Amino acid sequence: MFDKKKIKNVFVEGAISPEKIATSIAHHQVKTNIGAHDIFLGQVRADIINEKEVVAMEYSAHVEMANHEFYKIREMAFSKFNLSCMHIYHSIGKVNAGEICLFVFTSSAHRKDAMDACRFLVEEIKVKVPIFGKELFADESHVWKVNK
Amino acid sequence: MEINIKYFGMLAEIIGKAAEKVYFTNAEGIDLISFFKEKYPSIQNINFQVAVNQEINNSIKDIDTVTEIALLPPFAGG
Repeated sequence: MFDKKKIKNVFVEGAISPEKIATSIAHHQVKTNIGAHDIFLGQVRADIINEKEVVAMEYSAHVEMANHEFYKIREMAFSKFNLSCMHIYHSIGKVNAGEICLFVFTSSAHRKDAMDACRFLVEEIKVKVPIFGKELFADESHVWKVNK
Repeated sequence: MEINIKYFGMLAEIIGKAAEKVYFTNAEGIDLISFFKEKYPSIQNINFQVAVNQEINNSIKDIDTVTEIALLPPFAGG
């Protein structure tokens, strides 16, 4: 089974602020074995669905299972790629269109590992983590989002 | 045996609850997706996966080890 102490909570209430991302980058300046970072930022898109514009996404999740899945994906990435560092944050609750809902940050000595790992993580997250998204319209109606 | 069932996203919305206890007389080996579609005809046309003890699995091998069944609609993370 899982070592519960190693399982981190990936979820952040609401949008992920640009300041949090900047601070996270700054924290790596002391890690001088790193030569490359890659970052993926997911942003809530104002899609037009049935002539109505999405104004926000409301995320919910099976939080405990999702954190287990994030843990497994992290472990897989650490074994597949030569990484110095990896951070993942995902929003839960309401995130307005234009705001950041996913922050994946990988670091390695050379660019290939950081870049390949970042792409791997994003693709795995989309397929394996039980997160659900309600696309909200201005008139308070909604539809449920499904990853393609 | 009574098992805790959790419903998420659009399934919780359609079924009208996020959790309940369901009594199973013979749960081992049955197709859980069919079981819940029969229990709730309103989710007949909804695509979903089942997780047993937080692992994706559509059937139960040993009912005594089951603490939770979760019905998970399509994922939308990212």
